[in-house]
Amino acid sequence: MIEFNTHPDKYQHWTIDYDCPIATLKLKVNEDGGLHSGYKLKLNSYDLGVDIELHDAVQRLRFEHPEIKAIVLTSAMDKVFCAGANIKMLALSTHAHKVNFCKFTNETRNSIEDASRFSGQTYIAAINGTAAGGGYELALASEYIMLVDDGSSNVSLPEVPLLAVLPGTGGLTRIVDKRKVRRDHADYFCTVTEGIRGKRAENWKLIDELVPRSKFEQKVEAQDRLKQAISTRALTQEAMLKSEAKLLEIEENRITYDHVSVEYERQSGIVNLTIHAPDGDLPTDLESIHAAGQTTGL
Amino acid sequence: MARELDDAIMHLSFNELELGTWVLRTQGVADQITIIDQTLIQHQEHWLVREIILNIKRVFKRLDLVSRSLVTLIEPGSCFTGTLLELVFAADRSYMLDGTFEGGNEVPAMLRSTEMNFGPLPMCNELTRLQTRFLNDPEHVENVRAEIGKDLDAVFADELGLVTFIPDDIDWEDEVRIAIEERASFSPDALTGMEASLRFAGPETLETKIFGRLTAWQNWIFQRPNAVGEQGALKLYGTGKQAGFDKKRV
Repeated sequence: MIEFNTHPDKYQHWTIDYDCPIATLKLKVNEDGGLHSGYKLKLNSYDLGVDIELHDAVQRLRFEHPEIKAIVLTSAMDKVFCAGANIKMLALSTHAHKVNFCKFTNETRNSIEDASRFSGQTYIAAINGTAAGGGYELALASEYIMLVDDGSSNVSLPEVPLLAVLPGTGGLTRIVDKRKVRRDHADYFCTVTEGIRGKRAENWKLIDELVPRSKFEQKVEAQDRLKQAISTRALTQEAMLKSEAKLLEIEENRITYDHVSVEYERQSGIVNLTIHAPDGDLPTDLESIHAAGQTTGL
Repeated sequence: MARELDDAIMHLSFNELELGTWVLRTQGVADQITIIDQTLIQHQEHWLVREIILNIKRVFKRLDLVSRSLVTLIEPGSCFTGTLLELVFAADRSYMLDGTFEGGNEVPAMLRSTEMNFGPLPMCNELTRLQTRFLNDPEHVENVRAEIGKDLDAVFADELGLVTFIPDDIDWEDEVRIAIEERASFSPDALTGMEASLRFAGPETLETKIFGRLTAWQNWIFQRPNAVGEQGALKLYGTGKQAGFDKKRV
């Protein structure tokens, strides 16, 4: 059974550094930390388990870190930003799992954009190595993409020529729809396995800024400052809140939470899902909302 | 509530593939939900309250996208008010009991809208569920808004177009049972395709394109021999062998 509740203490693949008001989300995938057996998560490639941690981190940054205004997505691995979804994992997965995986990862990237757009937590991708397939798609979910200019770091969507599938985690849509890359440039880009680097990547709007390696960290910093200046998020150090769902019990035919109960009728393929309104006094002012957040996780 | 619902949606989506119909209900006092919604609206500019609202929005968007039939049952003792009223509009179909069950001493079920139904919780087409529902008559949303905060019984909810059917006590059990049984007899694939097509009327956005176009094509390709067959590229990747493609364009 796949579980979705996790906590930074349990992360295997991501670390979060806080340097108020900036957080840096660093990817260094544990090769042997796959959710299922049969594949190694080499070159910062990911499976659902890596993305469950990312989803958790994005949620916690929003709820537990009001002081954070900009988030840098980067890699802690030398020469590799992220190689995208693990191919062996995909090849071994059932069709249903591939579809679910694809949906979940898309929802996580949408939630990253949601945070940039509505929460004043702007995501910036600092690509310090190769960003292939889902790796570049992760960067595409950010509002600003910086690429280190070192002659080898690049961006690519090699799915069509290499794997006979699509960059399906928003890649095709975001390059033309969000970044407004010209469709003929996009067409070429999506058919070259080696991807595009350097000036051409910048000229074609695949990235926002090309930065020499020697100035990379400094430039990322500069970009952060700019973004936080326009952030609508109040700089605050209010108490942390519990972000996880309070799962009480999972049984064969039933799951019980505080406010949600789920019962299965397996014979007929039915789920009875009931939401229970809270009883008693409700928090109606900011102070009591915070207090409730600390105890029940809202 | 939102986090728990989110966890339940993810759990059921990944771990319970054969449970194809989700029957949604609520239980509790409508006034409690009204108070919560008023509190959320009143403090919506505050960062934490904003996050709570945005999270509810995302959870309901996840619900819109599930590959399961959604049926909402509105019975006495329910509280389909404001935020929870969205569960009626998110469903593929809804049934509201007209009156009470025989022998029951509960008051008839009511629907009640709040400000939460008119903006803060858009779908991924960036319209509210009510706007999407009344795409043929956008001004009708204002008729619904005119009843904001009021308890709407089954007949009036039906008149306003908020629910699908309003059987009375005599018909309720058979009508609901037959609807759910019939649904379970259809092809799950055809239902998923049908529901995904009917749920997102209105404008295309980045998100509707990602889910309705990009991933739908991807899921088709994921089934095709050129990717996953014995000679498929996804299957052979890393083996050093050349993929063999069926050259027919489909």
